[in-house]
Amino acid sequence: MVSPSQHEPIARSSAAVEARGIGRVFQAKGGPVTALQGIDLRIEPGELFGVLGPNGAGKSTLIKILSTLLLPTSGTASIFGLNVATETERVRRIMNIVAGGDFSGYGLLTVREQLAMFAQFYGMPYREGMRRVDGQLEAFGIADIGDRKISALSTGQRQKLNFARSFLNDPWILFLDEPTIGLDVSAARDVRSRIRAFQAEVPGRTVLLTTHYMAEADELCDRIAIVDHGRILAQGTPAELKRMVQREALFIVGLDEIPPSTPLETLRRLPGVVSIAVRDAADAGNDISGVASPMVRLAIGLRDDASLAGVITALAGAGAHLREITKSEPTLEEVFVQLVGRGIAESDAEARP
Amino acid sequence: MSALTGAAATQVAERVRAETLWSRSYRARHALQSIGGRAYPRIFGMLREPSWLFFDLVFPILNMSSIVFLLRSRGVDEAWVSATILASALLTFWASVIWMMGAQFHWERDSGNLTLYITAPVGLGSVALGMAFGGAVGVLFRAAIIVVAGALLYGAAYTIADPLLFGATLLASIAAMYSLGICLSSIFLVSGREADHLGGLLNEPMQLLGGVYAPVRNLGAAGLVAVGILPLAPAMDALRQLALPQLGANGLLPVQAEIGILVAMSVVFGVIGRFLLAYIERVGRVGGKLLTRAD
Repeated sequence: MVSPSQHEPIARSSAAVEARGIGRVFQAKGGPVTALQGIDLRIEPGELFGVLGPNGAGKSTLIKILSTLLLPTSGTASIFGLNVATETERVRRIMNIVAGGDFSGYGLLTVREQLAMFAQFYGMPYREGMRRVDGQLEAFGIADIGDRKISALSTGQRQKLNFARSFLNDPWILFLDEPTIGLDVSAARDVRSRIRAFQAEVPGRTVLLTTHYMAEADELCDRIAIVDHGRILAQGTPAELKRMVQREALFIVGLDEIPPSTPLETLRRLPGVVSIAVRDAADAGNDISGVASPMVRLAIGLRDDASLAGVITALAGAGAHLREITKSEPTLEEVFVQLVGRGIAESDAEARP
Repeated sequence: MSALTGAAATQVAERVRAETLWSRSYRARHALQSIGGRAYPRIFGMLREPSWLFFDLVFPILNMSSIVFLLRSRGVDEAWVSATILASALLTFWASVIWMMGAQFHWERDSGNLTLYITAPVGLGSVALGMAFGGAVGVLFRAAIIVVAGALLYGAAYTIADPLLFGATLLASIAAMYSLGICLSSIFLVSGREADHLGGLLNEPMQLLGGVYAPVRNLGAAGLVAVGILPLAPAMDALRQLALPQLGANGLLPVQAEIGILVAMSVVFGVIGRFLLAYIERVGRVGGKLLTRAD
C-alpha cells in the first residue's frame, strides 16, 4: 500500500497531537467571535484524551482544526508531526472522524454498500476493503443489518455504522466529537467498549474525544482538558483533576443511629476531624427479623485517611452500630463547577440562543 | 493508560508518517477507485427507488407530449416531432447536471457527507467525477427509455448515417455538460440559500438559449453566444443535425465545429471546476462555514 517516495525534511514532533497557541476567530454579523484562544496541548501516541466543556466552549472548533476542516487564525498544530494546515493530504490518510448525531450517507444504499464506498475513498483495494467491512460489521454487532438500507436504520444503528466507517482505515488518530450524543445507554456502552478495544489492538492508536458527559469522560479518558470560552482551564488525568478540588478526605459512615452519649460536637473535636454533618437518613432495608431498619449517614471530612480510625473507635465505643463506610471521591462535575463557576447543564443553557 | 513516550513514541510517529507517503501510482489507483465508489450510489442506488424512476420518466414524457401535440396541431413536419423527443432525452442530462451535480455538494454539506469527503484522503475532484460519471450512466438509461417511448407513442424516427460520429457527439455533449456541472457544484455551494433560484435560472431560460425545442439558429447573435458558452446549445444543434438530416439546414454550425466546441468546453469547464473545488475547500477552511453543516 505504501511506497515511500519522499524524505522527511526535518525533525518532527513525536506527539500524536501537538498544538501551540491555537486560536480561532470567526467573523460573524455582530462582529468577530473568538472560539478558541491560546490552546496548548500535547497528546502522546496511544492516549485517549478527552476535551470536556459545555456547548459553545470551543470543543468542536478544536476538533475541526485538528482534523483539517478548519484553519486556525493563530498558532500551529500537528498530528504525528504533520502540520494540519499545510500537510492536509498526509494527515487525512491516517485519521478518521465521527460526530454525534451524524446522519451522513446515502439512504438508498445498504449498510454494506455504504461501508464499501468509504473503503474505496480510504484507498483500500476492493477485496481488502470488503474484508474490513465485514470485520467491522461483526465487531459492532450489526452484521445482521448489513443488507438493510441506511434510511431504515435507527439512531443507534446509524451511529454504530458511523463508527464502523471510522475504523475501516485503521486510523492512527480518531476524532470523536460528542460521539454518544442521542444514543441509549446500551448503545453508548457498546460504542465505548469498542473504542477501548480499538485502542488496545495497536499500540499508538490515539483518540481525541469531546464530550459534555462527565461520566463518559471519567470512564474513558486517560487525560482530560476542561475548556470553557475557548480556553483550557485545566488538564490532567481524571484523578489529578479531582485532587484539585479535594482538600480533605471525605468518608460516608452509615450508622443505625447517632449514639446519644457521643453527639456530633464530640466527634468534631477528635484529632484530624475537619467536619462532620448528617448527610441523610435512609431506610437500610429490613433486618434479619424482617423489621424495617433505618440508617443515618454521616459525611465526615478528615485531614487524612488515618484519622478515620479515631472516629470509628469513638463511635464503636459509644455503642453505635456501623452499617457502611465508603470513601467519597469528588466528581468531574465538582471539578468543572470549581473551575468554571457553574455546572455544565447551566453552561449549556446559557449557550443556547 | 497506554500512552507511548520516548523512543517508542518516536518510532510510532515515524511509522505513521511513512504510511502517509503514497506513491504516484497508488494515488492514481486510489483516485479511480474513489470515482467508482462515488458513482456507485448514482448508478445502482437510483434503481432501488421505483417512485423516482417513475417521476423522472413520466414528467419528461408528459412535457414532451404537450409539445408534440402543439406541433401536430400546427401541422409542422413530423421530423420536428422526432426532434422534440430527442430534445427531451437530452434535457434529462441537463436536469441531472443542474440538480444532481450543481446542487449536490450543497445537499452533501447539509447531510454531513461533505465533511466526510473533506476529511477522507480523497480529493473533491474524484468525488465530483464520480458524481458525474454515475449521473451520466444513470441518466443514459432514462434518456434511452424516453427515446423508445417517443418512438412507440409518436412514431419518432431517426436516420443516423454515422453511428460512430453520433456516439462521439453524444459523448462530447455529456462530457461538456457534466464538466459544467462540476463548476456549478462549487458555485451552488457558495451561493447557499440562493442555490434553488440558481437552479431555476439554469432550467427554463437555458432551454430556450440551448435551442431545445427551436433551433438555436433562430436566436441570431444570442444563439451564437449560447453555442459558445452553454453546452446544451452545440449539443442539441449537432445531435439534431446528425439524427435528423432532413432538418440539417437548420443547424447553426457544421457538426465537426460543434464537436470541437464541446470538447473545448469539456476541457475548459474541467479546469475551471478543478480550480473552483480547490477554492471552495480553501475558503471553507478559512471561513469555517462552507464545508460543514450548521449545527
